[in-house]
Amino acid sequence: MHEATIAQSILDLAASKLEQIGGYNIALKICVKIGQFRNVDNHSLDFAFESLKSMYAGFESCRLEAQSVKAEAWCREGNHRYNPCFENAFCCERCGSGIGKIICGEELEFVDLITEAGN
Amino acid sequence: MHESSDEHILEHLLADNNELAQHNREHFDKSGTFSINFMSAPGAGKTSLIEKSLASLLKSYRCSVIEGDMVGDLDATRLRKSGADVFQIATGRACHLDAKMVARLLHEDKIEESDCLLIENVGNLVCPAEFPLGEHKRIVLLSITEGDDKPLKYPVIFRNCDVVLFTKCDLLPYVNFDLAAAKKYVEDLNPKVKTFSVSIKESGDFASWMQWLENELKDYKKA
Repeated sequence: MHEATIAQSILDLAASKLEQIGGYNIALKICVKIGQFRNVDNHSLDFAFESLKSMYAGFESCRLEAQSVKAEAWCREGNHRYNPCFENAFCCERCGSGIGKIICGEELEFVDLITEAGN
Repeated sequence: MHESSDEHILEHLLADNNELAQHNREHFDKSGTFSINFMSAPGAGKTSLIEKSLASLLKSYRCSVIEGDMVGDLDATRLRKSGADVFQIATGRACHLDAKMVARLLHEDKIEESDCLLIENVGNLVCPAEFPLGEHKRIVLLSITEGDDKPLKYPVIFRNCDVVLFTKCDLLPYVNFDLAAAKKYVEDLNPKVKTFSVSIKESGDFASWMQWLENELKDYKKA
């Protein structure tokens, strides 16, 4: 379950950002983007995040918000923009050709950290 | 008061791994070591393929192997018999190798002196795809006993590789595996991929795979 490694990376990144902010801030929410064309299961990621967050000071009540990004690609022959998905064997539904270039859906990104000043 | 610390500044979640992979790559290039990451499901035949490939490569090149397994050293012990220098990484609970694990071995003399480093990843078609190691080429093995639909079920790993080897092809007459369909699935996902149908029991296309590998190795050493 590599989601545990990814959850740890998220918390490491967020912890270093919280330290940069300084003061007595606590983390409320971390926003990440996960593309459809990544091997990441959002439920497993959330489970790993919830299991690990208590090990990070200031993250005890932090939530993880993972935004899924639908994949889009240019097809190889017709240059059509389409959603490469299992149902069409990842081929273009208009001309049947395979993936030329993926436009989006390969994201694995840290987007934002929402904090609150603590007491 | 709510604050957003770093709004809209996107950072890759595995940036640490990717930076270390880049460091590994630079180290390989400095020592002139062509590195290959072999990935597949458990039992697809990675160890057998590496063993047979080494028998040919070792005639002309210095080779070493990094053997990734969750536990034990059965494959490492087996591959040492080939004459190659083999380094075991026991990943414990981790289901993949990562760049940090490989980085710990970078300064091993036998690896630095190698022309070719073959890295056998942990058997898994999901996690290894997300963790570049600094390798020059990524090879995915799909044994015909696994089923021809695997590229559709695990598209990420088949999209992000240089070569797909269909293995155990001597069993084709006995199993329900549509080789043409599997090849099409892979090629539809990955326009640049090369595919070979191999068996370690019969020569067949194995020679084509070795020819490709040796050509890549020669080109790398020339550059």
